[in-house]
Amino acid sequence: MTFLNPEPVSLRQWGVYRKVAGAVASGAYGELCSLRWSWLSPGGDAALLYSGVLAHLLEASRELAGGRLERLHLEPAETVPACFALAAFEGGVVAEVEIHEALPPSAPAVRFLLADFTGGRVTNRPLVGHHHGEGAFLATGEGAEALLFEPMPAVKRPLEDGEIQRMIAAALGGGRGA
Amino acid sequence: MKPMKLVIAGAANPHVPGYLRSMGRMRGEVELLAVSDVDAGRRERGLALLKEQGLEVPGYDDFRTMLDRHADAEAILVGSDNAHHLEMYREAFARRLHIYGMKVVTMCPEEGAELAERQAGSGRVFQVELELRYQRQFQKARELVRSGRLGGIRAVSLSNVSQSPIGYFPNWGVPELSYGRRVPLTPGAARFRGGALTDHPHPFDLIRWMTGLEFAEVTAFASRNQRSYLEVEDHLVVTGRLTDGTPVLINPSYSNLEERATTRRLYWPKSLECNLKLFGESGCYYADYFDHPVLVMGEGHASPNRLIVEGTPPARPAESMLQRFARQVRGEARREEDAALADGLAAVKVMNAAYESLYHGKTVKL
Repeated sequence: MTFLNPEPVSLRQWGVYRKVAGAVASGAYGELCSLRWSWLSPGGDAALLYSGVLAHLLEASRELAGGRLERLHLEPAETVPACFALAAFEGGVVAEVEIHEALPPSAPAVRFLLADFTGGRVTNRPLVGHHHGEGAFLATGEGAEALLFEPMPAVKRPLEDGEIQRMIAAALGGGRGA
Repeated sequence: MKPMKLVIAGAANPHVPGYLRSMGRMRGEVELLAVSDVDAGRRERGLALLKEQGLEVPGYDDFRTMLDRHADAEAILVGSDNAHHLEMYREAFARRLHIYGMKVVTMCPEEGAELAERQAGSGRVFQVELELRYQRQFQKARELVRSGRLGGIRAVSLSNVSQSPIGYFPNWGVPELSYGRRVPLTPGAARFRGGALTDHPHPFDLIRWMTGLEFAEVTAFASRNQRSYLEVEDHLVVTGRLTDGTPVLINPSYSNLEERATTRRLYWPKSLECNLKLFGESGCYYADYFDHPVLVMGEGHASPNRLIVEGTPPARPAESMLQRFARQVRGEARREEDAALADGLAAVKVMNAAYESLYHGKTVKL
């Protein structure tokens, strides 16, 4: 993805966060129940995994939850800068965090937030697939590919249907074809 | 192949209507003899689905009467409330029937142990409905893990977020029926085990199946319920570690909201988010349950006049789980994707550990 305005913004400036914060403030969708964060980066800064990325996500979550962080559980990955985190906030909101700061260069960066409310949801997570596309996605050091398990339709012979063929021939003969 | 003679005991499970709808297509391999359910409404709705396909079979309110009347049955699909599974399994073993068990087999470890004992040496097939194994995108994930193409797997994230079926299957929200007994989610809580976690053994199974590893420990957090009227949990998330130390994240919530109605009417335009992420040392793989979806909208849709994402039937249909079961009954060897009783019980063990984690507010080792 090419960002036309490449200067990054803080979480608080980010439009998706602001949309969720607006929903929390207005109560338009009821009470906030949970937050699901996906922060996946090719070539991120491993040194900032916990003290930077995770800390900022927890701080943003605390702001949205409107209560202090009561409990935090971390599941760090081995040999790669990645972790999962669960955070419980005063008032009953739970945040789920997945962070990976060293995806293959061919994998796009992801910043997704899903906020579930008692009466609705606000999110920029794709409805279909992981990058708004059908099928699966595989990225390695050799490159990335989209994998669709269903075949595409193809045509390998002329259709044996006189009526349709006559109509096509007539239309072509009428000057609408090549 | 000579069709397998099947009876269906119970239509309490929200997946049973799907099986009934497919009976016409499976005529050559499955001969349905009868359906029982203690609830006349569920039973009649099930029989009506069969009639639409030109299949007329008798219905019974008592499953033992059904088995007595159809002594030629070879197999039983147990689709009752989870709490009634054991008595049906016992009867099935006594009558030497092959068993197709709907999720969950049982949430009670003692019952699970009894079933394992009865199954051992019975010579009967006991297949458990753990459906994610049959999706090609997840089979590809298993292949990638086993081949080492992603390098060592360093983290696994899997969501299985659905709507709640409790509006149209109210029994699914009764703790005694779904979990088997009333156990508070946390000490003194007015919410009880038996909701979204009990309904979703398949993500736990998929991770075991893909990796070939067991869960070593789990930690679960539950937020406030989205649906305050439910007695059971609808919103939780689980992390854990596999036996090789790989961290996992599983969200099995009912957080895709739906109308509070007696039929399934989605608000969130997708019934199920089932997304897998495998993070390896040298690559990553993401898969969506809806491989090749379409967008539909219309007044006549079950969720009328709103945009809905639906899956599509495969161009070249693979064998269904029930067909796989029928072929095993006819002597075909069990394949790697065919989930056995032990798989179902292994998933339940992890789920119960997650419940214990919620109750005690700490990590639980398996």
